[in-house]
Amino acid sequence: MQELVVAHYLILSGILVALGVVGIIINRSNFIVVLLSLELMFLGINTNFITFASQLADVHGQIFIFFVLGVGGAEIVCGLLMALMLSRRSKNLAMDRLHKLHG
Amino acid sequence: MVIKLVFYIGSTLSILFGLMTILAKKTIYNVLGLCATFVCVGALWLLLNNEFLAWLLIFLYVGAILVLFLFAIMLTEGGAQVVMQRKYDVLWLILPGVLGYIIYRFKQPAWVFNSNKGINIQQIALTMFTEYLPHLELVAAILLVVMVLVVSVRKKRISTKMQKVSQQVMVNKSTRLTLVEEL
Repeated sequence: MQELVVAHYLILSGILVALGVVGIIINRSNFIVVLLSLELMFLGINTNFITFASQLADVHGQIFIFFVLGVGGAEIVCGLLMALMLSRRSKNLAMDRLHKLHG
Repeated sequence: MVIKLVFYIGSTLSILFGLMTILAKKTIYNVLGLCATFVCVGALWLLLNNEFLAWLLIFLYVGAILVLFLFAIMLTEGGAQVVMQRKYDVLWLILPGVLGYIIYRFKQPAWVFNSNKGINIQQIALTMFTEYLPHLELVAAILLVVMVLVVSVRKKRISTKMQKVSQQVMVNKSTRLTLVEEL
């Protein structure tokens, strides 16, 4: 643990978050892949939290990761429910079909 | 030295599987790439002596949530659907590289990891159930609300056999009895 560099973890978390953003931008034609990109962003954020929690030996950052994981799970379940409802109304799971869920 | 080598291998693999997550053409491969990314990043968390959260990530996320993704793909036939990406969308991948380079060039203070032996699960539980108890209850309430939401949305599809009292009262002889003249 002494040999590891804090900045490398920060670079990794930044790259993961940016990959999530790029995934949302280029995969707008499939709602499920957008949810996967959101998960990737969550992973980068949690890596950032755990890096600083380990650097400061602070327990609060780790607890926050716990909360982020819990709320992220709830959000993913909601999103997959929306994907299931969308697939009943249209064969195509594109993001711009989401207005079909209205009413 | 070995730890550094493990870090470099793990981070390279996690970035590559992250690329597979967002660039694969079939949705099944996207989900499997995200599984592999989670496992690699969990290994990197283990290097920081955070055993509890690393195993939580691997068991809870790879074991539960990504399997849920697989179920959703099977149910929506999203796996058969080819993701439409335009030709120049790959150029967006400059963005992560630029961001990583900016963080790399940033004037860092000489940050080192704290040398004591990580944080054990007892400390996490003690702080979580004393200081963060309202927040924990709030997360539990959110999960409960989501569960009720999912069950209530899916429940409308089931045709229940209930008595409809108004229709029962309105029945008269002409609706039930028809006389057939010739047999």
